[in-house]
Amino acid sequence: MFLANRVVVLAVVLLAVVMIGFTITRSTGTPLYASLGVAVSEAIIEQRAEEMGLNEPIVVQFWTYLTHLLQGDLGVSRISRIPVAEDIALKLPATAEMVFFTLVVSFIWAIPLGVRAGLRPGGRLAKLGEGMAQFGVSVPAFWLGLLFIFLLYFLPPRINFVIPVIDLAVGPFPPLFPPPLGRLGGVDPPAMVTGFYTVDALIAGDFRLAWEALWHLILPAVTLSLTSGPPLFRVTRTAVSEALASPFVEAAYSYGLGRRTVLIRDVLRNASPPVLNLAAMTFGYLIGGGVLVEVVFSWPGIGSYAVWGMDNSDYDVVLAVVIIAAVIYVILYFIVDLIQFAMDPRLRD
Amino acid sequence: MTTTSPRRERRLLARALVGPTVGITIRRSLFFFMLFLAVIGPWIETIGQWIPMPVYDPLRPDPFNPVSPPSAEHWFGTDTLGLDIFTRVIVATRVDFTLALIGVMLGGGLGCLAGAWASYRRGWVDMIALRIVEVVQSFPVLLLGIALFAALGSLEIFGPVDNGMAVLVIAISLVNFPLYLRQVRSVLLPLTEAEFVQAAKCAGLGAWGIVWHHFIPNARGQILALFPLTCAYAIQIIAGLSFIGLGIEPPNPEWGSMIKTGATLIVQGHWWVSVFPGAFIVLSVYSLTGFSARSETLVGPGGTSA
Repeated sequence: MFLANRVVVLAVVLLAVVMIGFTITRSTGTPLYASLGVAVSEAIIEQRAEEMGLNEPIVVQFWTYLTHLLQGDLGVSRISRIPVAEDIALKLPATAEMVFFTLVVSFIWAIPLGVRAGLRPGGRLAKLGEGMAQFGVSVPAFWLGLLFIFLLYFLPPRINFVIPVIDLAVGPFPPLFPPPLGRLGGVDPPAMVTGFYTVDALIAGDFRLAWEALWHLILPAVTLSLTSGPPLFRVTRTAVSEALASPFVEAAYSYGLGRRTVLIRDVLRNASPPVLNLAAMTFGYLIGGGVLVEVVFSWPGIGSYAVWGMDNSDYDVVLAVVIIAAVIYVILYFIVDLIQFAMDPRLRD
Repeated sequence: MTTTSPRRERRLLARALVGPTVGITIRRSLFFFMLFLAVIGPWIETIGQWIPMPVYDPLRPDPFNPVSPPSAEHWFGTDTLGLDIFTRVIVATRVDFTLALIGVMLGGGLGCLAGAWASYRRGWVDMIALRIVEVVQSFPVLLLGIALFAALGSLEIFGPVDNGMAVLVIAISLVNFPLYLRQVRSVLLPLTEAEFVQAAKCAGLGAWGIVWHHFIPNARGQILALFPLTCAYAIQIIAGLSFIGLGIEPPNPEWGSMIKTGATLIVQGHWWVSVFPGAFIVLSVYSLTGFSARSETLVGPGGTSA
């Protein structure tokens, strides 16, 4: 019953998402001028409109779009004449890889600090975490990315001075990170298996290439992690401190269990569901939420693709990216819901 | 379980008494400073004549001084056209603050009404409201903005209002609508059965009367707590959309579009073009969040990755 209910809701939400995306991008008067320019005759415009099905009523257009969408056809780019679905298949892994490593970075800083802050509020590490969270919330991701590029790519080779008294020459250093020009620096990408360059390079047995791909990933991932990690930190902190104050932890202590055992067996295990939940949501959100960071690092993902489509008035591209990102988010939400339902018997009444 | 030494205890006590208030006070004064800048923005040139401060016309290029580093004549340097960044950063404060405020008030106001209505009516009204929230929130904010600009960006349907600004306001209100709806609904839902609601019903007050006079006032605290946070978030969205060239057109001063100008220059070492506008975004967002004691309630997963 619950499952059937959720599936119906999922279908309705997905349909609404496609519908809203469609009406928003199609409500422009004529997208024709955008693709043809103004200096063409009426006849050509008329012919093109007929070709693109723009003379049909919008409901019919939507139906056509929807049926094509269900067959995996997202239309054709009006500029490059490449099917949008093909482009997305190439670009989605780039975005997914960046977002995946963003979460990896968040798991390195936000969650340990959150656990620590929950265990010992007011401690030094708790304050560090809160400071980083405050910073991450206030700073725009794209600006932080630019700052990193300046400090870690541009500046190191230009540091060149001598400390007077001890006569020590400092710098120039090599750039700590590669120029912000995409996933690899002019090297051929590995054979496509998963679309994650790091994984593909390892499958091909090319460790240098894997390192190269990872090196290009670090800055975008750190940038996104600092700005999207604060909620993870805070949720972890709350979850841990709540678990710590709960009766079952008190009970565990009264059984005479050691601190470490209680921490792992009771506190962390009970604190993990909301954290994993949020991590999954963050993943879904960042698929479309990392647009600006992609632009800053010239990352060839779906975000830059959407911006490219926008700049060229290529609305099928914009629409496709919007729908894909929203659908991924909705489906992830659905899966998280199901997992929670499976894990927590209390939800089943 | 945890033992506290007397010294540590004293320190904690001192911090509880002084610490947070000092931080919050600084942030709030910072906010009033930003507000002051937003107010004086258009008259900055006149003010520059009274106090010794190098301010210029924010829109007049100086072709002999492009991309010059910070100096006594140009405190924050100049950009590619030779426009003075110090002046422009100050003038932009008003643009960003105003757009954020209008957008949040519009979307938030409608969201509050809809949330109160949904929690009063319950049943299918509530269900539809929740589905709408779910659908709108499943779009990533910036992609939603891009889609809106794709649709409305080239239409001149807002009369005298600048088209880009109008679409920005629509985008901001669309993002804020579900946030307020959700918050207000979650506060008011338990009140539907409250006695004062029954009493108001018996007194013959209509549904909208109850929503307006008895429901909304009960959510005031929540709404006020959400307000500065969403304004801060809105500033980031405005800057983010302008950064990819949507919204405020380049010669007009706006933080995001100024950062865009500097984005290509930063790999050549001309950091000041992007750094100062960005720093102003950070300052205003940071100062705004100081108003919310409950800054934990962030707007969503990755809420501020604008």
